[in-house]
Amino acid sequence: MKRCLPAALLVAALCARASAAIMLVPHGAVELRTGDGPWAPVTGSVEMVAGQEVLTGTSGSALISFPDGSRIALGFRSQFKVENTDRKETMLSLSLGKLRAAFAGFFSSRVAIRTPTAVVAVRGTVFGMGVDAKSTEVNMAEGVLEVKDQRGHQAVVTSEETVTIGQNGMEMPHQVGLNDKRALDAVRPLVVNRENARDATRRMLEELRNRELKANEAQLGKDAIDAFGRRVRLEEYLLRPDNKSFEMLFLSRRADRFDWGHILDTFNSVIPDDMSQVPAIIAGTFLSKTQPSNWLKSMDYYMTNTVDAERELITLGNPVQIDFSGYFNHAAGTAADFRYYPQSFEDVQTLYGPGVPGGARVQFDNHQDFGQTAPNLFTWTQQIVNNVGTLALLDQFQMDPSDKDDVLPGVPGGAACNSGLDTCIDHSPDPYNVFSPGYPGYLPEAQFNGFIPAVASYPSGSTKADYKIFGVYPDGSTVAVEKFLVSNGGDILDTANATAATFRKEGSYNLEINLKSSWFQGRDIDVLIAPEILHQQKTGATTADGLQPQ
Amino acid sequence: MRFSGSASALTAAAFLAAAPALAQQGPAWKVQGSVDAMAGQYFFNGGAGSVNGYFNGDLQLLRSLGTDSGFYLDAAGNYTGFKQVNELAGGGTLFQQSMDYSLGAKWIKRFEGGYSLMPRVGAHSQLFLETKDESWGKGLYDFWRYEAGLTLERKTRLGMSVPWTYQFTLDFYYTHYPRFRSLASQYGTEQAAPNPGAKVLDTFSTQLGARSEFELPGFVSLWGFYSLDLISFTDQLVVNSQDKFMGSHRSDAYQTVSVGASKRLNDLEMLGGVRPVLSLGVTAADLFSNQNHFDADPARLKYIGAYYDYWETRFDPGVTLTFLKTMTTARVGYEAALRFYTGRLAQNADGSYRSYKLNQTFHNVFIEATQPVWRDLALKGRGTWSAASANTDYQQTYTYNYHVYNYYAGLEWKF
Repeated sequence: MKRCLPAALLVAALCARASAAIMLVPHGAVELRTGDGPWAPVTGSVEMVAGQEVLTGTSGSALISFPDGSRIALGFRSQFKVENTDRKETMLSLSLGKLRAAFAGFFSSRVAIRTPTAVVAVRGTVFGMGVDAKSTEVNMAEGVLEVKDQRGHQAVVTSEETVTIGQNGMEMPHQVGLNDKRALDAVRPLVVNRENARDATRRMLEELRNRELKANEAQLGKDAIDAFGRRVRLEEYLLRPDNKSFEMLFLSRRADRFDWGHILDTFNSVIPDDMSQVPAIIAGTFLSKTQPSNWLKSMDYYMTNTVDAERELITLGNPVQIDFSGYFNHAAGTAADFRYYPQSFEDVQTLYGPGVPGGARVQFDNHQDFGQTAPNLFTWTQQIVNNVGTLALLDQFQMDPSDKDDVLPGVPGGAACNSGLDTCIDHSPDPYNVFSPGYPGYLPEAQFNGFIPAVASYPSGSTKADYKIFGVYPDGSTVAVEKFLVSNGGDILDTANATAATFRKEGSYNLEINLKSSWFQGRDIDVLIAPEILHQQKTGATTADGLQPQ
Repeated sequence: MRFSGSASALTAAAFLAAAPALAQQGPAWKVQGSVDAMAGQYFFNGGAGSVNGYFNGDLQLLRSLGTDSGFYLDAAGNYTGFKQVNELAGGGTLFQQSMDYSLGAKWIKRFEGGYSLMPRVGAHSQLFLETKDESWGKGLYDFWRYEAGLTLERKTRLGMSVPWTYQFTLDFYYTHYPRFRSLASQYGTEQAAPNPGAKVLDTFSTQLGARSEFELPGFVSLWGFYSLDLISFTDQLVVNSQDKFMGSHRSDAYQTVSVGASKRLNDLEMLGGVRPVLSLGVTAADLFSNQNHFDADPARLKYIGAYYDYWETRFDPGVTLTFLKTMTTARVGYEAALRFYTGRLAQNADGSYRSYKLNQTFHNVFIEATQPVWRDLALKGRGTWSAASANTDYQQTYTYNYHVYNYYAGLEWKF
């Protein structure tokens, strides 16, 4: 901040470095006086105080230094006075001659130099002044000055400007010409700093725009971190394979892998181009009071790591009128409540891959129908691969939708209804279960020996939404599905009471599904998708991980 | 305020003439720059990131060829080991480190009458390390930007009292994301995915700018700035209401107008003298884009036109205090920003759309202090707090309501 001036002319002055006082360093013939006292020669550095005046001779010059590092160099035949110095204002005067000044601007709140025709208020500035009996000339080098004449005119003077203030006031400040010896270098620190700052302002707009592009990717859910700390890029597209169907394609890319999948919904008849009407058509497929004009025919869920794949194909029959009075809690036989509902519903899970026997194999098949297997009853039939890898009947049960005792949770006889908030069914009468010896189609359990239908665990801890279902099929094949609710930043949801139902709730977390199978030769399928997508799948179908002995 | 260069010239010229010829020296290189070495930490919604480093260096080589021309080269490098509060705060990442490098050159040609013409070129690279599976130079959002610009400046006066400098600028920016390509363009063939374009973030911007600066009596500075950015997305196609991509590319127009002022007040008689400088900036900006958005979520299937369009206003007062006894400088600033989207809808927590448009509010406060310790070496510390809120509850993929802060401290050396 404060440096000694190196020139020989002023060496002595500056090696004194700035002290707390105003210092005068004479060179040649220099005199000093206090007030109107006599002039006395000065030969060495002296301290100047308010009221003192310095006069340089025809061969003299002087340097005046201030505690803040500011300096004034007086030329020959110059008369300069320190009129007043305090924190609020320092008033100096140049009544004759020339000076050149470099002001840091911290000596006091205001610093001004008075001449016979002007008052020059100093900011941080390098400038020169010349005074004679009739006028004052101010030559700015670098910085800003405020000049006031005796007529009250005021002008701000900036770098490379000059202004003359006569007894009749000041003229218009003007710039020195490029060939004038007072002109400065075209490229100098102040200019570079100023230009860099201006360029940075404009460039910042580009910076902000780039940040916004990135933010938009995040806002649109195209960029997230998975539960393993890996960046996942997501893209979702809506396709129209034909006028009766639409396909939601989701692509997820990590640094070293690519997974993708789709949901393909096919309807009975043409769906409108305005896709915003489609959710209403899907909703109308189930439990509508009136005959739907269009309905869902199939839902095809597919996901793959480009080598292995899993497909769950749900096929729906045409809607028929069914009395759901039990479902809606009406007393049996008191009030029929007819709704339209698909007459059949088939959910088939297939695994694909080079390690899968035959390249593809159905792991399970859930079938539901109304009135086809048994009159006026829903019949559920579950088949899974048995001990020799063949699809075999595991379970079957039936339900009367008009009997609330059959459909409501927690009612007497509904001992199996223990799935929390899920609407579940009463499995009684027990003979319908194939494991029950009384059931006419009873099958020996031997072919399902070793079947571990579902083992649930929370690998990241009991409070973390990291829910893993591991199933071992009777032939030794395994399917493990691990689900995470993970923030956009890769944090797994921490909840006081994580349950499977946690994954069915709407929330601010992405759903990551990691699917492993013994058929996948060490590979896995790992997709990160919006929860709503899988929510739709869950409500519409049973997945392998949901297999439970009935 | 530093006088090293000027003081030498002053002394040399001394009083051989009333007005010394500062420029009458032979062409020579001059060097200036600064180096910062700091450490800091980032906090998001109360969660802390690790303490990490911040290093910044910039260097300018100045070569003046006289009073009418010259040029300078500018190089800068930066490493940030912790997130900045304005860096995708709501987007969330596990951690973030970034490096910036830039090189630039500017030629300055001056003409009589206060005119200057200043062409420039530059290149800028930004590298990110944001996730566990990224490495330096392999960041998804790494980008290169190539710049060229031309500035016409006139230095004149507004009447007798007020110096007036105005500039007209024309800048071009080409920004290239070498590792960001749409997934559909890379993998979509098999799935018959639509083609949204491949390099969907690459842009070519043409920026027209005008700037005015005034120095008023009473230690008052005023400035105004206007810019119009015409942004062409070279490979991003416009999506229509059926989630199909059209043949036209996305084009944005972004304009901003800012005015600002600063005023130095009289020193305060306290703590050995305190010099306050007040500043205030007000900005209005808007963005128009021909791009739309289709929410392909089966639960919503919503088309939103003018998805990116918004207008916003910012207000940023600040004060700088210089403690004269110790030469400590403290800066405190506040910024409030309001953004109103004209097409984008607010959403409920489950993602369903509300009937009204999304708007966001930002508040930002920073405090910074610099204490000279020896020559041009200074201790420096800075803390920034920021909060954002929006009238949307859907935060499935992006956090709209959050508070975030960071701090860093270390040494700054200017030369």
